[in-house]
Amino acid sequence: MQCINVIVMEFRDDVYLGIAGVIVALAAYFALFIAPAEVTMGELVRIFYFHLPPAIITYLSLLVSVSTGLLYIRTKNYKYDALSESGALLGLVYGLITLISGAIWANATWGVYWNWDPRETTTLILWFAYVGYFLLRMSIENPERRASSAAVFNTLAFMTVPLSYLSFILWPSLHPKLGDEAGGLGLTGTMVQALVMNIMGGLFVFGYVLKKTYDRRMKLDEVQSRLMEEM
Amino acid sequence: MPAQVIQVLGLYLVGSIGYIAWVWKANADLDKKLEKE
Repeated sequence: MQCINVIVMEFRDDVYLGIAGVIVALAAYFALFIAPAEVTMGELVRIFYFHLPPAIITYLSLLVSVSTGLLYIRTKNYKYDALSESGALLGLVYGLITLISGAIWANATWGVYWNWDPRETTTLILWFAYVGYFLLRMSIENPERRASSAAVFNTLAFMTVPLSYLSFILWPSLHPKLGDEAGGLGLTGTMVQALVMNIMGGLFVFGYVLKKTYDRRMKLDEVQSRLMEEM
Repeated sequence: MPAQVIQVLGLYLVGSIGYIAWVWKANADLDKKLEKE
């Protein structure tokens, strides 16, 4: 019976991933071929459709990570620590994609890959803060101390998320903004549709990878606890 | 289509698919380990 449940769950995961793949493919087609070019940025605006979703996933992953870290402190339930670690790992992966895609876009529009713009700099600080989170985890052997210390560190590291998000409001920045104001992208109806589709596709994939990363961590804990029992 | 658009799309897709492949394999390896024990 348990075997059948596992097969059904795996099948559901595969169907879910298939749906996510179709949405991502349709969204990419829409962004590349249906959405129009922008007045000042021209065809380069299409980078935006593939740069914003990983940025949103980064912030969302880290929000999941910090909130479940706080839940761990409250409940001492390792499932929350596993979810917190999984969120932080995805934050690192999608944060790196955001940083590199941003640098490619910067080179295409400003002529340099990196110019220490407030958004670039604060996002890099965010990324290193979460590298620190994993270095801290790796340095502590005791699982309870590791989970507690990581959750406390996470609450401090998470401060870099609003800092990164609000950076281009707090400091003068060349980073494009949404909307019609000066420096804004001024997206039209079809462009907004392309953007929403790409964000939806990204969020579907995020749901899948978060679950699978959490499953991996729980299985890893199971393997380690069995090893401890044997010793 | 500018090359930079394709580069960013490629990065996003390769990053996501690469991560899915890694986590899928890690889960499969752990399943095998748990089955053996």
